[in-house]
Amino acid sequence: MTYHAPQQALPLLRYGLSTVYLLSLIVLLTLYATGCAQKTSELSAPANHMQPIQKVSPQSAPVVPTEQEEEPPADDIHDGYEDLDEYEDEGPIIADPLEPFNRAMFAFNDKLYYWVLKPTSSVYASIFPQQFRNGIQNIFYNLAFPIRFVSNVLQFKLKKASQEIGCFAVNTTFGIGGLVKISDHIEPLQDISPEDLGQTLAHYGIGDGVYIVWPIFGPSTLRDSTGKVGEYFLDPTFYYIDDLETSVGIKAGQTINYTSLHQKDYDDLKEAAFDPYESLKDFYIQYRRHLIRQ
Amino acid sequence: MKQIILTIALILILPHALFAGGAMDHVQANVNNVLTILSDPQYKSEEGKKRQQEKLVQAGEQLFDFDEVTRRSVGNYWKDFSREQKIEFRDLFSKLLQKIYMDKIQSYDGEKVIFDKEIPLSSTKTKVSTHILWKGKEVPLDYMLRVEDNAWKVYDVIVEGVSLVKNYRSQFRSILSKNPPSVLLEQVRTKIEQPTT
Repeated sequence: MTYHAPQQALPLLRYGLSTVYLLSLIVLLTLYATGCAQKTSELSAPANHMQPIQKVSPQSAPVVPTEQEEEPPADDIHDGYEDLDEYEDEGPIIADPLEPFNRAMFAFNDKLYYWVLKPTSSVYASIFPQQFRNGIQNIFYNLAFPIRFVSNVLQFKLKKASQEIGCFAVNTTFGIGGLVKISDHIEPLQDISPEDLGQTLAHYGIGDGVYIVWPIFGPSTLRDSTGKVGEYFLDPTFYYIDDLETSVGIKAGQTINYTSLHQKDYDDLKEAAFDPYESLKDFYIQYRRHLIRQ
Repeated sequence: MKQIILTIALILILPHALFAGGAMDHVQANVNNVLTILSDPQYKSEEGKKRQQEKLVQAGEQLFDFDEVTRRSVGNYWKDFSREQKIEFRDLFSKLLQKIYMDKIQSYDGEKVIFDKEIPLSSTKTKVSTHILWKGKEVPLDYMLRVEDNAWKVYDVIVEGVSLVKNYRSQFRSILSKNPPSVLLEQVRTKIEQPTT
């Protein structure tokens, strides 16, 4: 067996990339540690609110004389609105200790969207008909089959795993490599909520960690980012495309194609929002929790 | 003895069960009313669109309890609002929601709405699950309802697991934790004047 020079260079590049991913994994783990610290400090905070509820025995009363002032006034029931129940302000949906960084990244991504992504995808959409773009999206969806399959198996969602196999088999063969999503026309294979490694980690009780906005990639959490690192190794393009430029190009193409099909989504969110950063964060977390429940 | 307890239990449960039937009816009747207005050919013209909007606002007020939507969107900070501010904010916020969602609703193109089931949450609250067939996909849309004066009204809409009220609350929290209610009121006023995209 003879190794050609370029081929020898390829595994090197691959390992080079793996190192980058391992490094990011280490960064993530460090973030986990700080995330946990954040959580404990948050947990200790409400304990102060609990104190007024505790019965203060006569002996200990003089020790905490100011406690009484903290008690909310009894008439603080808003205009006969009796209960807020599950809608009671349960506090922020996720810890966001990186908020200054995240807001900066959000602003960066926002500009990236309006200056680059939106105009590019508009031109792209004017050239290629929607059916073609749907087809491209279907191909990418089909290629990501290993991520969904492995995630289902790891969560012992065997019925869904077998449905995914069915989709992949049908779409790859009769659907011409995934171009046509034939499975949408087969009742038992319709509308399977996609699983990923972030959801798999959640299944095993890993919490969100902290909220992170990545440049270019957008909103995520510590847990979901960790999942994404793992998914990188389940992505077939990782094994078949060895050239970094090509694989970045493919990802960019995928993003432009996706944006061209969801052109108004981000605009709508911004139009309806008072604080788009908070809105997108809440939207991301609520939607992820919805997917995790499926 | 057992029968007596059972009868009492049944009597206690019955009114709630009757209520529970009403929630699905309320959503179904009002959503169907909205869909009828949307597909009515008499509103096709430019001038008709205006009349259609008025009809839709009326239908929306039948379906929703905007007092409740507003209060829950503001959450704990509601108590910081004066009575006048509460009334003004309620009016502006419901107007803003109508403005934002009017275009989207008017672009309705015969998508099918399927009423799935009702999931009672307590004696006064219930969830009605529906879904919309949109571009060959099933989009789940849940309505949260509560009883007010013996009638069901919607206080939140959940699209693909994302609650509208909770989304606004996270934004209002970030604004109201640093600013007084007057700042939020000013923001709603400016948002209402912004042209829709």
